Amino acid sequence: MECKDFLRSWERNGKPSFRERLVSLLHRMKCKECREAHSFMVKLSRALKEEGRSDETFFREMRGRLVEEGRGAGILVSEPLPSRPFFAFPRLLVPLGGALLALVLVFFLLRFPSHRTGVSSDYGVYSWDGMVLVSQLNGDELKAFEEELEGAFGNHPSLVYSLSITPWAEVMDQAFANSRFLPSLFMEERSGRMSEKMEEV
Amino acid sequence: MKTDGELISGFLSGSVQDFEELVRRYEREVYYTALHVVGSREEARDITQEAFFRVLKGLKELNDRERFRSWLLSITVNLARDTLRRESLRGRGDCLGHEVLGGCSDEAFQKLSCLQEREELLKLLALLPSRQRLAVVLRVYNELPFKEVARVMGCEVATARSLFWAGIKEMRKRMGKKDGV
Repeated sequence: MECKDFLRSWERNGKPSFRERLVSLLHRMKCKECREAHSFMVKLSRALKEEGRSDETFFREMRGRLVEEGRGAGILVSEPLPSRPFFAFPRLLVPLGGALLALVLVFFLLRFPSHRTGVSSDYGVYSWDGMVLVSQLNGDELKAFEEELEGAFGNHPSLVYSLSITPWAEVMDQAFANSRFLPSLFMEERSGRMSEKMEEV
Repeated sequence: MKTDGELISGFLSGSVQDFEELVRRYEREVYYTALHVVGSREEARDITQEAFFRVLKGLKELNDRERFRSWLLSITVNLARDTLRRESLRGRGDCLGHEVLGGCSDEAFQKLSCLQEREELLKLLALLPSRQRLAVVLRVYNELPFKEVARVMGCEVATARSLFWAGIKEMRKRMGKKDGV
């Protein structure tokens, strides 16, 4: 190993630049001594860095003993937190908060619809597909109607929730804006249990 | 990712997590450095554990926190040397390969021909005198510059450099001997 280039490459601090690597490579192409020495060093480095069988159990136990010792000596004081605490995930909190907010909003909309505010006494009631079932009820009538609905569809809450209660003016606006609502103003009969119950109401 | 300095600050204020992270970051390096130097898993485990116990007790004395790695490796190397010294007193000798290869004789090298390349190289390393072996491990495995190798070994830079090259030369010579070059 008399070649200075090889020695220099191993005595350098830090990683060589691209240019230095290129120069070294070109040099090795023509210098057999450096080529062999470099090949040996690469093999040795690989052999040393290749880790044998895992000693994870030993490492884990050692960390446990160290922490115990540290606590005993009063050097370590804090309690270890779980590695992935649930509330430490801001990414999870955002959708959770959003979902919670939406649930609260839905609850209040269903529980306290706008007619309870007393702004208007005329309401139209129509099903989710736009069919108007009952029209022009005042606040008391609407409340009674809701109670009837609850009585009729108590076992089928999804049917109740599928109904919308909207101020009558809006219903009429929508009806005139979209002619498909108009025939339904005459409470078209629909097949099935829901229509029968509606008639009873 | 926290720097060593940040983890050390956390540890000094009593954080278990920061200390565990610091140990996790260096445990493999300490263990394999010790293993390459002393050549025994059992001894390497003892050295690793003892090194971190010393860290636990002495870290507050470390002034330059960013030099933690080199400080830790110095502890490891000193412990490894103590182990080798003990072994030497027991008559095992400085050359780790004695046990494995049945001495540094020509027959031993003949046996190497049937071994894998990695095992071959590790055994050649084990045959080196301890200081040369240490210089080779610190430079090649730990990738320390010679200045740091010298600091960890507690010698001059020129000494560290000559020990390293002497070790490499010896290994290559033995490799060539084995290959019949």
